[in-house]
Amino acid sequence: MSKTKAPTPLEQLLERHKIACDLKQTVDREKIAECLQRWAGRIIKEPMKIAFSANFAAYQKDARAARAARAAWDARAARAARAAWDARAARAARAAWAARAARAARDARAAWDAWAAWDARDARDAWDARAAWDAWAAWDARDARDASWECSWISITSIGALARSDEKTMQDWLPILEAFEAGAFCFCIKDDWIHVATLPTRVLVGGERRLHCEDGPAFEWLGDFVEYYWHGVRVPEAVILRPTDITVEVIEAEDNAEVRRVMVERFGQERYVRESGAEEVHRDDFGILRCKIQKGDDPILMVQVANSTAEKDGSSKEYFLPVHHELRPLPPGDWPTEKKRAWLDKQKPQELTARNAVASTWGRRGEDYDPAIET
Amino acid sequence: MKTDNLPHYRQGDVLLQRVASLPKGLTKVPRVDGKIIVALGSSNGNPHYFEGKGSEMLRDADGAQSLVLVGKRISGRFQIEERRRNWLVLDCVALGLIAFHKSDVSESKGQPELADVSGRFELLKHAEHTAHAYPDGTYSHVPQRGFNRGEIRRVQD
Repeated sequence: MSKTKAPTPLEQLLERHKIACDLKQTVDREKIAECLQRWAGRIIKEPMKIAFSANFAAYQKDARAARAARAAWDARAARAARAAWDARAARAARAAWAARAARAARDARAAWDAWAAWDARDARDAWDARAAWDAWAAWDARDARDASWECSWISITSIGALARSDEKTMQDWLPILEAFEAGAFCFCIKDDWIHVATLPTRVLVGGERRLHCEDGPAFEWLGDFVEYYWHGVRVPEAVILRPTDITVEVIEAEDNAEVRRVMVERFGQERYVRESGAEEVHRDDFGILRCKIQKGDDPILMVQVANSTAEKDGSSKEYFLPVHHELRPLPPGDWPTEKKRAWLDKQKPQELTARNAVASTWGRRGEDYDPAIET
Repeated sequence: MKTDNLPHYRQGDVLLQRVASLPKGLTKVPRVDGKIIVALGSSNGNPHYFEGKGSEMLRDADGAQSLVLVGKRISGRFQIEERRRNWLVLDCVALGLIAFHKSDVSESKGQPELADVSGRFELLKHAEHTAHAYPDGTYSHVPQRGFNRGEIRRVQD
């Protein structure tokens, strides 16, 4: 009978992290507090108090204050002890964030290189923590997010350190993994306090591990942070909860191209083309130009384009881009209205082709649009 | 900005036009988490971004963005995964799939499935698009626009 090989300490740590990334753990506040105090003792070298944010609004307020305080400390060299702490913590944070941003961790410090060498990133992408991170990344309160430490990511430091046989760094950062295992999602530091936000209570993903829920919020966090997603695209609540309210008029009034695409998908693409009365005028390698005649008004033209890069299931995302009824090249959207109008008046109409239509969305004529690369 | 005969590249709603030089009076745009964010997807959180240490993004007073791209050396013979009108998608092994303009690679004689790359390239990345390889140089960012109900607006995604 062959013996099963016992997992190595590194494999054990990786498995613990993987399990924690499923976000199924029960929140144990006492344990989280103990872990973070232990981490603070090793990294910050000062005793810290732990507070749990009651809701997202409170956490956001704390994180913003933490960011402001950090900047203030940077400017006040007289507070030597605090400056030393801040430099140390900020340095570590920067390394962590940089590694996360690089994803391949090629430019990050050695522990992160070791993690990258494991090439476990694809596996991590399959975990729910990754989906939760998507919601976190879509969070537009960047100033608050920048001051936060996300536990699923930072806890990788201990794994990378163990892979390098760097026992000290591993022990320094292991408490973060333990805090994550106990249900900490992220935290920020201000003065003598570590403000902790516990795990999201709802993270629902679709087949491609993107946030997705067809009949409710896909992401709920701290009670008051609720978001709706359709295959990774954040959409208004009504798109999910009241799909029967989606009409041709509602679709055409939506400015956001991704949200409009989801609305068309929920409404039904064939139905949209049929009910909007948008008939095909021309098609080429660049897309399909459709025209909708309106009584007593200029026709509505839209060009239907597909992403060149296919989705994992082989399909391609399709978008409907509204264009000028004479395919005049369009000026930048953020110019003042009068300047836009004057610029548009100077442009000559173009033949109604899909290529000319796509070119017009970049302020160009068709003959000037031939991308070296287009995906 | 002169753009005569200089290539342009499109990734989703981002179009980058190579330019001979940049206007004066531009301000450097800070990186976010180490990334140069050219455009941030507001609905899915997926940005179009560069990561090269030597690259930088600049902005004029009206918010128009320009880029100075300084990439890393990429060299080797790689498998051609896809042939398109003006570009090839190559499997650059550790770097993953990358789209190169045909003029930036040389296809191997006698081995139609392989192409040689030798040069410095900065990579434009996005979670839902193949990475693009841009030769070192200066570029301007052209935001996409739409014409909706008589209004001209920047296309958001």
